[in-house]
Amino acid sequence: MKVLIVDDSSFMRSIIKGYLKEFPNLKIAEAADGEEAVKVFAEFQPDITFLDIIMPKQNGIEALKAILHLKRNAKVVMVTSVGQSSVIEEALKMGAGKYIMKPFKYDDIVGVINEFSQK
Amino acid sequence: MNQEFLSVFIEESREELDKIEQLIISLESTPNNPSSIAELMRLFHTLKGNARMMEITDFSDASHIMEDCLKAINDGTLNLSPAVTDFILKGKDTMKNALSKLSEMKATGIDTAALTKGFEELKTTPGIPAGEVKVELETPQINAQNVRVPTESLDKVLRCVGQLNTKLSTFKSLQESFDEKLFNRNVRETEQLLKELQEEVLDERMFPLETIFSRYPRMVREIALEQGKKINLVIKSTDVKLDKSVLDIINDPMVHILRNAVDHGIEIPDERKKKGKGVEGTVEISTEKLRDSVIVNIRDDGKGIDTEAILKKAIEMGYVAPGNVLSNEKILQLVGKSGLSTKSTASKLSGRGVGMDIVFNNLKRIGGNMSIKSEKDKGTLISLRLPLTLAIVNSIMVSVNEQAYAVPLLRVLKIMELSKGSIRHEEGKCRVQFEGKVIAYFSLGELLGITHEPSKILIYEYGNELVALGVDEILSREFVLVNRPDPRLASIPGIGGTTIMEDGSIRVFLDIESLLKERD
Repeated sequence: MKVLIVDDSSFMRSIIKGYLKEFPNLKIAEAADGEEAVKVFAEFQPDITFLDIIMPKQNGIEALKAILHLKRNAKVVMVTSVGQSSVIEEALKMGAGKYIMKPFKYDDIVGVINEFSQK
Repeated sequence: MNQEFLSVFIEESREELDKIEQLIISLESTPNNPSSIAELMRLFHTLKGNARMMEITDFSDASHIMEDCLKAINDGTLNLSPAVTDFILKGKDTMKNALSKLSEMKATGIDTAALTKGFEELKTTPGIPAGEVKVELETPQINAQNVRVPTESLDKVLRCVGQLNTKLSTFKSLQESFDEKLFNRNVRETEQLLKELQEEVLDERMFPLETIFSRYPRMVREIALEQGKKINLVIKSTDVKLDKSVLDIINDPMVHILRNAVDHGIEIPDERKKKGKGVEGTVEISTEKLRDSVIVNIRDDGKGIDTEAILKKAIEMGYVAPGNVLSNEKILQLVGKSGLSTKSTASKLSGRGVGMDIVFNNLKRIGGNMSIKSEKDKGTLISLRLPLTLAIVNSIMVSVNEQAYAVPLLRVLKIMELSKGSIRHEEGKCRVQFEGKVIAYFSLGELLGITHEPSKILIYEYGNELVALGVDEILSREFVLVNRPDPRLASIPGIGGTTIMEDGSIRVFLDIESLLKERD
């Protein structure tokens, strides 16, 4: 399974990667902003994408739009902070699979992988 | 939260706080910049989120307060006054100090109640003048312990190591059945691989000079506010990178010189007005890249160095005999002498000028140099020449009267035979012909005080000129690790360092520039 992690914070990306060590056969790619996320998505073709919302160059909502344009049923998990409920609503309407809230826990990340790999 | 992530959190947070400082200071001079405000909000938002992941509540609360402050600026409910800038900078400093404490596994010491109160006060009384908010400035530091290395670089290193292992296997097989051709080829290829490996590793030791420059706007701003001066600090952008050990050493001298420029150099607005200058003084930092060194220029348009006062002090201290007439240039060369301060009261910022001799010695220690130009009421230019690296230098080994010396190869353009009639004597100087031009000739022995019979010439680049240096023999060409000389030897012209050869013998690495300068 291939996972794309998109967040402008390398610290946050390293946390998610750390949690994903639970799944040794995962292939992981990263992107630090929305623009890069779309490029990497096109090349890497991940099964699941963790997508942060507030990022430089292109934010998560714009990146989500572009990603869904590339692949209509792409599995995208929005990673959001408190106070972004309207943004989350918009993302889910657009086609994001689900969202998790920061600060997330180990079970949140592992849960996503388990859930999507069963579908 | 897993302690494993703490160092990553601290490292990234430090970088973000540095970006915040640069942005807020530049925003002060161009306040209506929505993208800078948005970027500042994003940075504090990220810091907040990351701190929450690490369960460092007071750090995330502090970030939240700062984020709110930026939001208020963004929506126009708070004006970006000097007091507001000071508040944000103070918040940033508090958070940076907290990171240092976290790295020592101590409590952050953040007083979020005080920050909240400060923010409330800003909102209700926006007229708090700047300068009342005192900030403890940290001396900009390079993180000398760790380096971030891109994975591509590590891959390259691993590839080289892999190939070197293959070469080793070949050498081992040659032990059993020797083949000269294969042996020689293997030696050449091994040399090449080692060179690539070395270049790759050395490259990762190089840091942009802007790493230390980035702290200066804040420092200059604080001093200017404190002294009631108006100062425009211009830092010309540069892509120059220096070995991190060089950066470590020049950081303090740079800060000292910059503080001198602001404290002693730039006049207060009234004084500048009387002299017909603009009320705002300018301090400019720029760089020039040469082949194997870099020049950093610090120029100000202030009152210049008081050369009369320096000469008087120098005579008092016995550096110069009374009645001696010295040119401005010669007087300025005295600035590096210990104890020569003419400011009667030391300001807490730059001390008594005792710093300049330490600046000078620090530079000599790393094979660098300093020159000063100054004109009364026009300003001062201090130029620091810095080597690009302290480490490995491509050198040519030459002999002078059976003694071997290392000469930096980068400045050597050509090596030629020296025939008897090729040296001309004109007006007491020796000259030779080179590519249609007549250039100065010195025997290296003459510069070192040794008698010898040169038979080869090195055509050497000395500043903008070419100079011919006579040597006995060319021995070899090698990369050598140059050890900087003991400070007590560093002031002797010609000693650029020492290098230890394969047989354990020690060879002097020559500083040709200082030898030629002595002749001048």
